[in-house]
Amino acid sequence: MDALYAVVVGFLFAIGVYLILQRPLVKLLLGIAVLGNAANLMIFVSSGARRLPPPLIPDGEKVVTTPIADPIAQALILTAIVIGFGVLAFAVVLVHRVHQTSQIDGFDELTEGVGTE
Amino acid sequence: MGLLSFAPHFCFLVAALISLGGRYLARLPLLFAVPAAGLATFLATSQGQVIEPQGVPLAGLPWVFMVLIAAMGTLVLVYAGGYSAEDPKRFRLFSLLYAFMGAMLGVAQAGLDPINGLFELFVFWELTSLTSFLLIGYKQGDEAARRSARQALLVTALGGLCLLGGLITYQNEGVTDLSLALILLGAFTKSAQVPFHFWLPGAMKAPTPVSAYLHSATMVKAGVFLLAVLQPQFAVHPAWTPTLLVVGGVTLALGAVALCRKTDLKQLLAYSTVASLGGMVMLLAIPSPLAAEAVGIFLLAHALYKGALFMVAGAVDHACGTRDIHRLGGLGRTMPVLAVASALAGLSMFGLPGTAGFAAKELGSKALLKSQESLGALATGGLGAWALAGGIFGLLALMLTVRLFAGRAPDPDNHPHPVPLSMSLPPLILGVAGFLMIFLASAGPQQWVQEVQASLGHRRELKYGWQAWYGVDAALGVSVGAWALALALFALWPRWKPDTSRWTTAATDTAHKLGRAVLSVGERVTRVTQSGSLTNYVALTWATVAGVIGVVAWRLFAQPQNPGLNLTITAKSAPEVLVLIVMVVGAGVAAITQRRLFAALSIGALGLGVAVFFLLHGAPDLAMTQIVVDTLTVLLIVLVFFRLPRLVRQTQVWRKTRDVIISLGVGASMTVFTLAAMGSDRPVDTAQWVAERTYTEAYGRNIVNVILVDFRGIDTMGEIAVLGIAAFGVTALLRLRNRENLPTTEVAE
Repeated sequence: MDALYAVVVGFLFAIGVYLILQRPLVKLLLGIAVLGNAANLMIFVSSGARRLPPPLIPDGEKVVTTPIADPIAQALILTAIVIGFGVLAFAVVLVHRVHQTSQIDGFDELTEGVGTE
Repeated sequence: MGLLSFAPHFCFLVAALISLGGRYLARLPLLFAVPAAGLATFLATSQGQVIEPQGVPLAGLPWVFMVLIAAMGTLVLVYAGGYSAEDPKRFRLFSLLYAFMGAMLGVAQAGLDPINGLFELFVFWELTSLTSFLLIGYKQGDEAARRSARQALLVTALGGLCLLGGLITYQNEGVTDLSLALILLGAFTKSAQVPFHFWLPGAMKAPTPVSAYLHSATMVKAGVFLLAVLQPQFAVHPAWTPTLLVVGGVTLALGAVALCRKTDLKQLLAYSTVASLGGMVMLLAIPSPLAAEAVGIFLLAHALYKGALFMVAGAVDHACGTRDIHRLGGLGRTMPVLAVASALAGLSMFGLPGTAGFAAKELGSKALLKSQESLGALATGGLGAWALAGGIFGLLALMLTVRLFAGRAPDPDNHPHPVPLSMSLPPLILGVAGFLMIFLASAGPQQWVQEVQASLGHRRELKYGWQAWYGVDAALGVSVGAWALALALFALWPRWKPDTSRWTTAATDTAHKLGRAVLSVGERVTRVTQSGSLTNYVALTWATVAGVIGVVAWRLFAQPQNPGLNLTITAKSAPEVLVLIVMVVGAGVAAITQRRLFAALSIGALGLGVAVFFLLHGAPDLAMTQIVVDTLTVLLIVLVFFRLPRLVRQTQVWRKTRDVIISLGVGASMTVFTLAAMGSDRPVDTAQWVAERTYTEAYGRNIVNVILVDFRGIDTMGEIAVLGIAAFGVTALLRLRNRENLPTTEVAE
């Protein structure tokens, strides 16, 4: 099972990078979204994804004694999900504006004519 | 401290004012020296403010140095007024001189607190390198000046980098081999010690006021100053004394010998300065109050006579149009004031009894003689270098006085211009000041030397101090030997036509070649890596990521203690497999589809799959957040995508191949990395720590939430700030009106 998880994480990374390398700016956005999911998943499976109860302290008790899912990784990923969304939202709007003002579709068109003067 | 701590700021302010409005006052050059004169007076009378703050006797040397900087600066500014009379943009020179003065005062001031002020010292140290670069390259049209400026900057900036490393190591680990070595490198480059000495003679391309100020009196002494300030801490290291003694002694001897092969007045003075700096470093090596006394006296005496002689050289150059000693002579009749100034300074450099130079020479000899008991052969070698250099300094003094001003002119057709008073008075003042050190010693100079002693960690106790005559002893023998050597060499001089030979320039050539090699390698690297295509950069970055992570991950993965991974797939894990299939299909469709709606929805499917995966494995909080964010993402993408162009397929085969290879490489290395991470031992103490305190200390039951808002609350606050900034950015971009002439549209056209 673990090996399968790792392969899927790697696959998601590969797709994310592939999309980012494409010329259209739209694919860049898709790539960022895929990469974010890949990274979160990687942290999650690295912390040992097992079918364990959520990290909650039962009512009436002060500490948990039974095994629980790793809360540290979850806290990290929670932050990462939100930040990832912030990055994606900003990138989406930025790409939108770039397209609106210059009618271009690819990264390299942005720098065309800049270094040649 | 009080007002005194604003001395650098004052200089920077004056520099800024001059560069803004100096052009309107360019006809009144004397006016530019007034702020410096005021500052010098203020500093000289503010002694009570700095000495012994809270009873710590460390203030002395920095204060003496600050007064020296401001006073020399005043004279140099007066001199520069006469020197640059034909330069319409000379206010630039004045402005730069003030900027330099500010940086230099900052270095000195930071030395007041050698423990906490070290980084302040570093910042100002770098500022002196920068302003010095601008000043050496002041004649922008002159290719050689630009090259020298670059060379000086390279050497001193390299030293600055070493110094920074040294200071950091020192603050973290105290006095170690590494911190000592790095700090010494910084000091030696700044103070032109062998083998970094070559930049100083090169810096003579600078205007002469700059040479007199930076390259004899102040900046080159910053290295010596740093060593002096750190001596109380670093002298305990066993390598301190031998290293300083050997480097200083070699610099002293080599500088003096190299001097004999020069004919250009400024080059002669530059090499003698290299030698003198070596002498100071050598004296700093000796851990005795007598040596500290010698350092103080030598520092002041040298600044006075060398500054004066540089000014004389500049004035002669200005008047006669040449600095070649073989083509000059008999100038005494046409420029009597300058001749007197040169004679006064020259006597001091020659070391005649009654001069400041004599005091320096005698005390240096005494300190070296006395240290022979403890340091043995090293001190004897140092004494030899000291005597040799003394003789050669004497020769130089004779050349600059007798040869230059007495006798006949070798070239009767050369009619020198008259020298303005603003150029002959400052060296005269410096020359006279040298004698005042002796004859008004009790009015200040004695005390200054005591302050230097105190800074070097000794008691304020002068054994000899400034005197006109020290009696007959072994030190006088060294002086007599030096005089005899000087006279003998001077007698030989007319028949001795030295060529400006190879070996003295070898170091300069090597530095040039090295510099050129670095530049050409840099150019080649730039041409290959900076192709100008953003996608190429991104591809290169990812390829690097794949390579680096792949190597690291593989080494981790291949470690033998890898505990067994759960590799079995049973019927029980069917939900997981299903979810994984959803993710893979979602991502795959997003990669290949040409329909924008499909792409948006498949991203949504991928995110949802991840959410369910979280839910299955005990992370309901993550699943909830993921679902919300996923929904928002899909909405956002759908809203924007239809305003963007259609998706087109990559048509170039080579690019497609490259992209596939890179992505597969990243994917493979990430797979291995994940496997390595999953297989390694996870530290559980942090999780345990948090779980134990979630209820007992933070009164929460949801451990993840408590981590976010309590244990890592500040982190979460930072996250909120990041999101806030992103929101501002989004709003700003959306509200930005479409204007006709946005610069980006020009690029597109």
